[in-house]
Amino acid sequence: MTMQHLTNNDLALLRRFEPILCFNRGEQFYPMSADLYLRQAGLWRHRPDADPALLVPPGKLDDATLMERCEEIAGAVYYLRVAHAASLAEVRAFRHSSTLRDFHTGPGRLVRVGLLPRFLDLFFSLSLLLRGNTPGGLAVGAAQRYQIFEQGSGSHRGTWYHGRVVRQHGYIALQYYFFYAFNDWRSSFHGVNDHEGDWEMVTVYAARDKFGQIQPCWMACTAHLGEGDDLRRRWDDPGLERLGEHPIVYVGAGSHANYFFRGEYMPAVEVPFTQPLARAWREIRRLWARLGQGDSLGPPKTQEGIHIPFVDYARGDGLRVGPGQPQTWQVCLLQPIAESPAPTWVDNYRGLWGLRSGDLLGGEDAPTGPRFDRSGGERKRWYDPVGWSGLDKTPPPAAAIETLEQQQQRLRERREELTHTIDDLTAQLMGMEMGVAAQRATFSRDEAVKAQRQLENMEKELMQLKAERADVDVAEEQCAAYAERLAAGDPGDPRAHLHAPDLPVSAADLRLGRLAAIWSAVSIGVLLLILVVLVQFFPSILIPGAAVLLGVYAFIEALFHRTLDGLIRGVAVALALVATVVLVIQFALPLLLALVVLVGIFILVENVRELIT
Amino acid sequence: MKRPRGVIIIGCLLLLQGLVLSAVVAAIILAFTRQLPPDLVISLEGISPLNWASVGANAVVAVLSLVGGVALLLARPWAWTLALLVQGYSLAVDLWGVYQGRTPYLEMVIPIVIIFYLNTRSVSRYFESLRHRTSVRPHTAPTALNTQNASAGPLVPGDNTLVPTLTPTRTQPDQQPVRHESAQRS
Repeated sequence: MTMQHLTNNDLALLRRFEPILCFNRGEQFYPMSADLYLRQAGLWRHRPDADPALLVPPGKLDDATLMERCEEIAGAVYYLRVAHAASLAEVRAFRHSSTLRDFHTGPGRLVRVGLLPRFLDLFFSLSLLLRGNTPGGLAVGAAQRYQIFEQGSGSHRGTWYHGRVVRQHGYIALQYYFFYAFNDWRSSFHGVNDHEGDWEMVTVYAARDKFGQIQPCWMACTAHLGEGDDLRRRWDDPGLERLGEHPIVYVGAGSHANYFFRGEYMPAVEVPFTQPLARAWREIRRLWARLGQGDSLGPPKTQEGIHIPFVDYARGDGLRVGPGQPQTWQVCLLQPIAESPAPTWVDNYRGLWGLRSGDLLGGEDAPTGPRFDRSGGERKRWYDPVGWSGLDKTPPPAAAIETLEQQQQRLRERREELTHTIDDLTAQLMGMEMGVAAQRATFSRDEAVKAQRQLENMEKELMQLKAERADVDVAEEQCAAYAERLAAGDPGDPRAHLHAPDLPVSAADLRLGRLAAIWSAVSIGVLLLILVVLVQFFPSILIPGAAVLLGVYAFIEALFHRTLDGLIRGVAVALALVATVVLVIQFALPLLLALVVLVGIFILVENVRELIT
Repeated sequence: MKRPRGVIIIGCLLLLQGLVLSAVVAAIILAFTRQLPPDLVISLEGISPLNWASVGANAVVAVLSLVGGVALLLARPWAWTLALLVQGYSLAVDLWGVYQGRTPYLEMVIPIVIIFYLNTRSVSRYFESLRHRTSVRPHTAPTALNTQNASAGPLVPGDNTLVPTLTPTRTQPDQQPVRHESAQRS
């Protein structure tokens, strides 16, 4: 997509729909100027066969130097670096004095999930030691640097968004990019990852109404790595909060993921290589359901593997940034306007905006800029901002009736075409049937079979065409009804496009209480300790002891999660299966003989019956 | 929804199981208190604490079986869970017996059949329907169907036009700019 020049009207539109970002208590990083970060950063280069090299020391970097030093070298990764890891004493002192003390987790994430994810969480934490991660203390180092930036003088202080306006498919996509100096979700809020630098975005989609006025119609937010329909909400969605024309967005603590609703979210990280296991389990359940056992199987989930859930706190009880708020926006445009060019890093810097940690899974590496991804290609949200949120299949409101009329016209044309073909085919079929009837006496057996097959094929084709015409008729009726509703000003369900949107966890989960929190915190550790005691001191009762222990654990978990019914059912069915296997093994020969006898009797009865009749 | 006939049979079987177990437990208690005729009194000295625990558990299961049987016959929604619990316990005890080298194979057949029968979709749906029927309050008008909620889960409460907490004229503790406090402290 070519770089569009912005007009003052575009800038006014950006200003008109600026979002209000609501942060959590304890948040350490707020949207800052990417230019300020760049000017304070050092430029580094990583090559697979060499140590990282400092190309430009901190404080010496500007647009021109950045372009000059980032040469195209195969395998080289360029990255910016501002923060340095704080010492243990500094970390301790910072945590005592910082606003992190204002943040309370509430019922932790482990209390909201089952035993297995808690076990897997243990391995996830251990995996950080092996797969490379952001050094400990870096988050605190970055927070200290960020505070220094904010205390300093200069025009780049304050809270910033980086604006962009794109016209596509009848929409005006107003993109608000936010740059944060650090993502401290893991180290400060028990989340998935830490990384230096963080780019997030909110898009407001506006379009001209029937009077030619520009009106907002949709908005979309980046939340972790998702894309598609679930990222966007219609402007008239009753759940959306706005202050005038400014949408309100709740920002995840440390993760800076953007959410439409205040609350606590539970995004999940898939455990690698568990998809086949989950699929196998699903197949077993499908087979079980086919036997008439248990509940029928629902549709497959979008994420099939085993997941470790984390909590993303988007309570919105901290600083609010936006129009009319304690902190307001300053704008940096990512496109040229009048005499002012766009920052050159937008189009030319493909490196990372922060430390490259070397994480094998990539989650602890800094992100690339708003335009390019890590492979060097353009991000979808950059080159196709309307398609990124799945909006490319939805016309702007003012064009909806016209689009529907076009569709109705297409349906009418298709109906005419089908009617014509059906009439032709019916005539052919009748002729063929007459021909076959006339020649039936003279046909050989092969010719008769061939003619019959031709007739059947043609009949089948005719049936399909008639069925399609019936479908077209129904579609036409539905379109007509929809057109009436649209004309009456009813645009339909604002949430019809959603499949599995991010929603905050329910209030029931948040009421799990202190006892459940304590249990979830200590359960896995205590379980492991008791198992060790059993192995070491009571090996003779290891198997029954472990079974009883797991039973007690499952019972307590089921009590906390109100799933005692399901547990009793599951355990009873499992015991019945085991007992069946025991019986089958124990009585294999008699069962086999009984089976053979039954088959023999069946065959005997059938044959004798046939003989008699 | 019509009650499956098998549920009545299982109710009767549970009652029978409860009665038999009650009789056994009662006999043991009577033997312990020496209220039986002298020729029926058995020696209790060799009985271990584990066996006494087993007697206690059987007493509990006897009561649960009786209650479960009656509840199944009266079509109570919780009877399904209770019946599964009792049969699951019976199977667990039998499997423990197999692990110890005993051969309670015939005793295992009935609980297996009952569990698989209760777990069939038609039976579990029948009890599910009973649960829904009992959870509907009489004389309460049903709430209007919210089609928007139906497609996207529960709505988060919030005003779509004005959020009072964001109004800058109102001062609330949670409106304080956190970053500035942080900067002052450090």
